[in-house]
Amino acid sequence: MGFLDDLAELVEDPAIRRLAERRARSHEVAEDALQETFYAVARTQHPEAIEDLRAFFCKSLIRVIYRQLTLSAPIPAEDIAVIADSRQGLSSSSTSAPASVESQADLRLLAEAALIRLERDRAELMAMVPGRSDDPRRYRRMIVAVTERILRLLFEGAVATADWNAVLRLEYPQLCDCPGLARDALHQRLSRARADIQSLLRVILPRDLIAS
Amino acid sequence: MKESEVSAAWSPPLDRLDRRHVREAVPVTNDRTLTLTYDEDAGQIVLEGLPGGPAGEAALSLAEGIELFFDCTDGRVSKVLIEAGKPGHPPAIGEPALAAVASLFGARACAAVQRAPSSDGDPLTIVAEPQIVAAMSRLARLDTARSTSPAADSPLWAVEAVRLARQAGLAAPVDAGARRNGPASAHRRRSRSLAVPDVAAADAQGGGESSASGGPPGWLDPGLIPPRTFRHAVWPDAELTIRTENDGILVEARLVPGADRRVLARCCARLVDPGHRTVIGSAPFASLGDGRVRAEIRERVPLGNAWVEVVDDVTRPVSSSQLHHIRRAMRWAQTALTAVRQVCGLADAEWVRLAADAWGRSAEDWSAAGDQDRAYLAAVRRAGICPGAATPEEPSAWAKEVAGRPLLAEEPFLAERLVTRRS
Repeated sequence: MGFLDDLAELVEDPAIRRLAERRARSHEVAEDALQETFYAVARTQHPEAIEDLRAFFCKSLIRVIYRQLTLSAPIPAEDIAVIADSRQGLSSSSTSAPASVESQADLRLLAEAALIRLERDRAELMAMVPGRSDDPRRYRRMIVAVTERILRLLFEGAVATADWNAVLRLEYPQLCDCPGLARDALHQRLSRARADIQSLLRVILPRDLIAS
Repeated sequence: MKESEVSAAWSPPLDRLDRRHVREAVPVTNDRTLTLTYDEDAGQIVLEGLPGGPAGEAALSLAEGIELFFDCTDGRVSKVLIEAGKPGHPPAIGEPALAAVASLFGARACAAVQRAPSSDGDPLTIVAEPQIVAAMSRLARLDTARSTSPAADSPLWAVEAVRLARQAGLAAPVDAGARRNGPASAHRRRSRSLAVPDVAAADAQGGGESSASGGPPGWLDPGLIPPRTFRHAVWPDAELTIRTENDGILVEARLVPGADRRVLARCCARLVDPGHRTVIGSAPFASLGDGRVRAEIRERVPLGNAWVEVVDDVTRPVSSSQLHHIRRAMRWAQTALTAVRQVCGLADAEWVRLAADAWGRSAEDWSAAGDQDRAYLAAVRRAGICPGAATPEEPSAWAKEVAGRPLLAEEPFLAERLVTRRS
């Protein structure tokens, strides 16, 4: 008999089915656990390494039943790094091999500090923004608000400069929604606004974190 | 730290395992009492408290052979699993697990654990540092929160994980690249491979459910999809856009930035009938640009129970309606907890309303799954933030005790501070 046949026999084994029902306290959920255990064990890459298939299956079955009440897999404490297993950094060009989690953490903390600074020094930062519209106060306020929004997006992952236009349109629709505004003029407004945002980001973030 | 006396103040819960009890109750922090048992079928020693609440549990592998489970709703230790060899073989506990028990709960607890398979043992009071347990709890729950977060790809999860690991006294993580090929990563892959699948389902009345767009219901179960691929939403119903057409259904999902296209190629949307555990139809995803993907399932949606799900392997088994409701009930509860954490940091009526609605949905799903205890617990949580909401009568003593526990009032996770209700 092959490995899968052995597994299928275990699934049908009355003692194992009783074990599943006893543990799951429900016929349906026990059936779910049995089929999931079959699915998981059948995908084992080296079944020949399993010394006692019945014991392995039972242990896996009980593990599956425990997992039914967890939404995520357990975190191995010695492997916290894996939960940060993303190559996305604050920069959109983070394609190099990931640095240690410690250094990544420091980097992120730096960025977090930048967000705090933006909040704390909002008035001072607003004063750095040129007053480019008929309502300079509103323009400055909106540029700082959009900068904060983009900074938060940077925290979530990479954001290309090209995406900044969308954020500007969303957060500051008055900038683009002037009746009769020519296409070139619109592009110029967006370009200047992006430049103002970038200047602010340069003040509060290290330069290499900003998408160019 | 306050230690409480050994007690058994609650009746055996419905999902209490039928094991040979060692009659040893172990209080770990404040008023927590865990019962020490030896599970011969699993070859495990189990320290178990009250069952997990409506948001389920979060696990943390403390060391090789020992796992801690924390209740996601109130953060308490709900159980500790210690590997004790193969089922049917003489018990054997590994050194790393014993060392972890000794470190966390003390030498006397370690001795009791060693005696558990062969003797009834003596009553024992075990002390654990509350700050350490609290850090471990938040670390475990962080991963659960991340698994359904719209900001799952935020690097801030790593920042907080490292902080919590330090607070918990866990070994400082080393290079992620080196780890990726190491035994710990292998352990994680094994854990993932045994992750419970989840499926779609139908409501208990058999009338079926509908998504907001009129199609069959569906959400992104983190147990079915690959990590860092699909973008979750705060509100589970908003994760997939499902539209019914004359000859099939369209399923749209959003991707996280930088999602691996090879991983995406393995995924598909399925229309399933959980009542019969069958796949009605499936289709791969095609890119729509702008971070969205769409699958077109060319099968008519049958009357009755049909659900849409996204899976990383089309051959995954379809699970029951009951398990679907259980999984989604936990997901609704996670949404409620996310909202409650936001309320904790920033009073906001919209978050309160969202939390109340999510607890209500969780209660409905638990009820549909036939679990009146957890339906009650979810309803109690809703009533706690929604004055005037009806609270059903407690169905059991353990549910009453869990309901009486203080709410977990904590700050949002760092990455959650960036989440908006529109996410």
